[in-house]
Amino acid sequence: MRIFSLVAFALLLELLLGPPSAAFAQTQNMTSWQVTRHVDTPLTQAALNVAFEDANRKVRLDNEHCSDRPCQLNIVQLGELGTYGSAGDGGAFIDNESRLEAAFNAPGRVSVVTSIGYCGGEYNESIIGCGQCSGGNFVVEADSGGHVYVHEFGHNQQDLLDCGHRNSCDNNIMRWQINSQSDALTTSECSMLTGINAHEWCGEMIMLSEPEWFNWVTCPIYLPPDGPWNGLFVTKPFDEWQFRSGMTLTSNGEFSTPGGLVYMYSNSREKDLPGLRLLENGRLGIKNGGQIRFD
Amino acid sequence: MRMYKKLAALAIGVVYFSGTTLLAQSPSELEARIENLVLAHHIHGIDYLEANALGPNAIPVLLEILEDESLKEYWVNTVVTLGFIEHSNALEPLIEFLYSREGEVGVKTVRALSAVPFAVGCIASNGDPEAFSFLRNGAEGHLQPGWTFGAEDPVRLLAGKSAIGLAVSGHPQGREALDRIEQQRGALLEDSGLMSYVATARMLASRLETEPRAAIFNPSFSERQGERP
Repeated sequence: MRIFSLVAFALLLELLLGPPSAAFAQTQNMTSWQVTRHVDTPLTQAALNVAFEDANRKVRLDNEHCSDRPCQLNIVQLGELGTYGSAGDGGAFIDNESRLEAAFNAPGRVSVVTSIGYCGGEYNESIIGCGQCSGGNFVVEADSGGHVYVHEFGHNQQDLLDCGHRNSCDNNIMRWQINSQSDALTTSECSMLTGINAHEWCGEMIMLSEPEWFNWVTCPIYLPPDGPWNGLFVTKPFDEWQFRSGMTLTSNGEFSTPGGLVYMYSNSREKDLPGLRLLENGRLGIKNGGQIRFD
Repeated sequence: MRMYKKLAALAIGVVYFSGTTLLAQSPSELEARIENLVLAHHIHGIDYLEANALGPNAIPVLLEILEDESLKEYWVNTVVTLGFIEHSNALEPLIEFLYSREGEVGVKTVRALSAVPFAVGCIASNGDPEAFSFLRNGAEGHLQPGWTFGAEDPVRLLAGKSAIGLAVSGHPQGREALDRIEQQRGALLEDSGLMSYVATARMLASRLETEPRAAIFNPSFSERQGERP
């Protein structure tokens, strides 16, 4: 049996950063956030792009440590990075009720400031995010990671944990304390964030007819060489397949897409995820019972 | 002899059941606790109870972090933790840290510098007169650091933060100082932009009269009391 190893292409980065095509956008759940920074808070568009990329990765990938479900949600920036406040007015430091209100009232959903010391009646100079409970705004410190954005967006959603936290596992993104490894979401949390839960594939033999467009493979896929498929697996354009680390695709046939991109990638926690992209009319052949293993 | 043995057993029992407050933990254990707490980002802020439990032996280790430029993104956590320990050994080093920078500073550094009055306010909860002296000076606009941050006025910033520090002391001296600020500065408070600080300080001071300190510093304190799954 020949084993093929995937080479890292950083295709996932392209997937997340590139503007979606019209077809891709139609099949994706998207949430658009307008972002403003206080005029005295240094934040570049490039740094904001990094935060959005991180936020997208956090919601979409499976966290194997905690009970997690990949969540298809495309978080995009609405418009350009704006500013609010006036130079020297002190509003870059959220350390009293008045300034917090000003940040929440700034245009858009997200306000970025230099420092947060006050949030909802409590005071702690090491706070890094503050969200309106069931409201339309949240505030984060400049240089916050994507997990902070998603956590505070979670507090904006009505009925998501009653504006509370889920502390059952260290890497829950809605835990009361989170870190850069926090990315675990339940199916209900995904839905409340306006995302779509990935369709889970599991089974030694999978007969694929009309696959869901966002698939999460938790068991190896076997394409039988005989029978109606003759080892040929055809999937729709712009489908997305996320393989849990260690899963395999075994066949004596071909994997193809008839007329558009199909993304296949492992949910490895590495930054530049290895991925496979079948281009238009692309075909991938696996012979003699070979495997592709997604690590 | 029997009485001697009984007394010895009693002493051993007292030491055993008193836990780590009497039995000194190893330096490596303390450093590990500090690292786990301070060298991480806390979306809702450093946990007051966890920081307070570190005790004064943690102060030298924390001060080393403040001297390590590679860890500046965690300096604000370090300053807050030094405050939450609420021991006067940290007062002078914190004030030195506030005046240790010259010229324009970056975001990570200014977060830590501007957190010093809050930390001093926490130390003032033990009644330290030097801490209150610092905070009164700060609230009256007499702190003159050598650093700048963009268009921000550091003197006004530290004045507001000092008002907050007086409040979080939870001490009668802190409330009295806030009273004097309002009485003496009056209309100047609005002009100086301090009115909103004083309003928030009053709210915090009022809460500290009836609620535990942890409830003021950690928004999830009451939630964790019920251990929501």
